Amino acid sequence: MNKTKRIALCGMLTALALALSLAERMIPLEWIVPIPGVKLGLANVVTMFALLFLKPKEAYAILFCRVVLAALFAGSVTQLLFSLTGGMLALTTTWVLLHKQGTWFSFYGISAASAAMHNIGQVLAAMFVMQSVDVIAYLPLLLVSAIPMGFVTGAILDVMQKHMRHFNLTGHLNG
Amino acid sequence: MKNKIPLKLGDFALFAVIIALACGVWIRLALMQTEQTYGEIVVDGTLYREIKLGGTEQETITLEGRTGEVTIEIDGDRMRFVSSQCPDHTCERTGWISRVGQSAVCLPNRVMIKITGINQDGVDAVAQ
Repeated sequence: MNKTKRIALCGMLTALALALSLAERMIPLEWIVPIPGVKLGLANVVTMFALLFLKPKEAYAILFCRVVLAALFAGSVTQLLFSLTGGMLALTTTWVLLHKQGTWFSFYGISAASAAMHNIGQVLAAMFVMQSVDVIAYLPLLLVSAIPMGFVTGAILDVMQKHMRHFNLTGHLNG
Repeated sequence: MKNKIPLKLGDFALFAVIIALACGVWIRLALMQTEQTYGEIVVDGTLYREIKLGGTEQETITLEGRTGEVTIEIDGDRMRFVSSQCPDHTCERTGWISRVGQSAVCLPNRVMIKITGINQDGVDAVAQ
């Protein structure tokens, strides 16, 4: 696959991730788990997809663009800081764990671990912004919620990557 | 096999680590529980007011945050956000808090209420 096509694909994935992260704000998850910053993490599916089918460097670029654009469209600087720390930690975790995907871990476990690391990153950023360690009281519930959220995103990714392999997008990219 | 979720052994290890971490933090916070509790109102990172909890005190505090007015209610040993002029109203849905380490945050307004076991004045609870 040539460079132009890669860039175009990266752009499309960024747009998709951005749309998903804006759309999931409409899901009132905070009614079930009353914690600020709780979300499904649908955009993480795109990031994980990029890690699977593109280079890590490109996955980081997509994540960075998505987070910055999402903050510009519907967020604040505080939110940007939270998503950036959480996202980077989550992506790095995913990248490491994906090496053992299929042998040690499935997409479900990797998604859950990724969501948990995202939450840890968020809480760390919140501790920094609020200048207080008390925000850590949110962490247990956020971590537990990472498992069902991981199952949701993991299931989406599992189904999607099967179909995408069918399309032989990978064959073009890696071959 | 087709409808089964293909979980691997390592997945359970990951779930175990996540749950262990959650329990660890939770237990650590629960151990910090002391008898006398104080309610703190923190605005923009600085302590706005501290209230000794546990009595029969009833009070409603209104203050100005970044995006608007915030109303906090104190009722005996517990406190909560009654209303807040912010887009998400997450703080209101957190409800009552009363245990040490619990907190409710209104991020847009940069207002946080939390329960602590130590008062900031440095005066011992017995001496008061």
